[in-house]
Amino acid sequence: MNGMLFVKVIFSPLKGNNAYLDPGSGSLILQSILAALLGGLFILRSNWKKIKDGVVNLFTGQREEGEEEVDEPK
Amino acid sequence: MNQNKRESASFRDPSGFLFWREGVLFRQINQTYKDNYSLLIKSGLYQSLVDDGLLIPHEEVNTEPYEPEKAYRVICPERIPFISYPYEWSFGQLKDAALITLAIQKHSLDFGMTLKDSSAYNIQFWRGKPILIDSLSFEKYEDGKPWIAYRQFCQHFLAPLALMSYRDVRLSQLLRTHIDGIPLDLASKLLPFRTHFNFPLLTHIHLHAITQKRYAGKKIDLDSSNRVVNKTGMLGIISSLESIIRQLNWNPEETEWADYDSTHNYTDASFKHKKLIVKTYLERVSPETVWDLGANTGVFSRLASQQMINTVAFDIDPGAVELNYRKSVAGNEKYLVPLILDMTNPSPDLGWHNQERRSLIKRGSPDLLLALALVHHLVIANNISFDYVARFMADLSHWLIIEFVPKEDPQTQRLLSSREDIFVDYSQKSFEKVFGIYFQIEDSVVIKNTKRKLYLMKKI
Repeated sequence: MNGMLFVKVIFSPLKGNNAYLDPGSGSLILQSILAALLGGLFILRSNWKKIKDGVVNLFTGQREEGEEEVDEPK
Repeated sequence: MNQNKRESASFRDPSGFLFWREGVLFRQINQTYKDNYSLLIKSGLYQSLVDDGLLIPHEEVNTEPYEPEKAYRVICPERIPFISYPYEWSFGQLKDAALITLAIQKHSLDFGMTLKDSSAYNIQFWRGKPILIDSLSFEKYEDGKPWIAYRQFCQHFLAPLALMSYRDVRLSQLLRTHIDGIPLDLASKLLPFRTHFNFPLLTHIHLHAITQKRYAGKKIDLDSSNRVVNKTGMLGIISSLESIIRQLNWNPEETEWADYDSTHNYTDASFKHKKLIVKTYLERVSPETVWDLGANTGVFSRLASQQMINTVAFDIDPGAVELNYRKSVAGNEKYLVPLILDMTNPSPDLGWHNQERRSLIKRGSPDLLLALALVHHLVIANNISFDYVARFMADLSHWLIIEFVPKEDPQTQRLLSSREDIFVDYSQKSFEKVFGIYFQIEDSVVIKNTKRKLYLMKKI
């Protein structure tokens, strides 16, 4: 994304509502970059246990903690 | 007295403002904020924040608005006994205020709202904990919209905390000169170079300062077709801010007074006796509010606060105030607010019209002042005469519990060790004579095994 387009994009939603603070152009630009970077990290971190358990299960075939055996009809 | 006037600190946000009527503080909510206020209440966010002790509770009242033509509603928030400012807080207080602001922002997002400002002045210490006092700080969250208050958060909280942690705890005083928070380019210049290798500080302070400079004053052509800070991105930013703020620390080592408990000059019997006298005087006066000047880590302030008396414990030393705050948090103490204050240069009137942030003296007058082991510091270390000290104290309060420390006391001698003794009038007789101009001496007792004397005085 080139610089000017980026600026256009992130400034768009700031009109209206009750915003009275000047958020600062530089702060908005930085926020949009950080959102992309840190958003990904946030998803990874929030789901870290699931991902870790998934990988462990893949290699060991173990069920997740708390998952109960289900009796299948024979 | 606060009679029928608009609160001078409440003018920036057009959503509403605070006003006084017959000594009671109200908040007018303007028509322009109607939708957001309704959402705050109907979404359940207000109740949830109040239940979690994050937002000051209020009642909707039928009081006539201050500006009826603009008004939607009037609310009456719970009263905060003493308004304090971020430049009076210790490191731990500012850190807790920062963390509560982020917790409120996360909470708000869960309910489809967002904080539209994140001013440190919107946080106060109430019942021992930081709490948001501005009920109009919320607006509807729209997915994709950046956090408007991000820059303010970095200036009001992250920059001072980083400077206090990495450079010097006294840099919190920059908040006095920069009332909208420390400019990020200044913080970036003052922080040590090694903070560039800390990812959150690199981004939220150093790169933030660079982008601010790079895009300052740029005319932007707005286009409403795209939105780029989605909710996950915003949660990522908040989580990063939360993580760096939790990492920042400052520990009081042996600052001037922080090791007071082990270095004071009393025997156990004298100390016990002093506590007993102060306690007896407090019971005799039964004040509702107490200010303890030179409170150190709050040993004597607690004689008041433990009796459910709203007590503010002032000290010049950030280490002593930090220890006092930690102790109050650990003990879940509800009636004590420790604050940093240089008695010889108390917080002045600041901001617009010199009325936005009020001086110490304009923020109330306690029923009783405690001034223990203080006068010799003011007179001998700071050349402030008995008359000036007495006049200041009489301006503040009707009742005074004050300790006179004679010249032969080791603590006074310590103050005189590096200077010429020009204090010929520093004597008990002169002290009583000068304070007698402003106060009636109701009682006095010599502290056991010492030559120090405690007085209970009442303003004439």
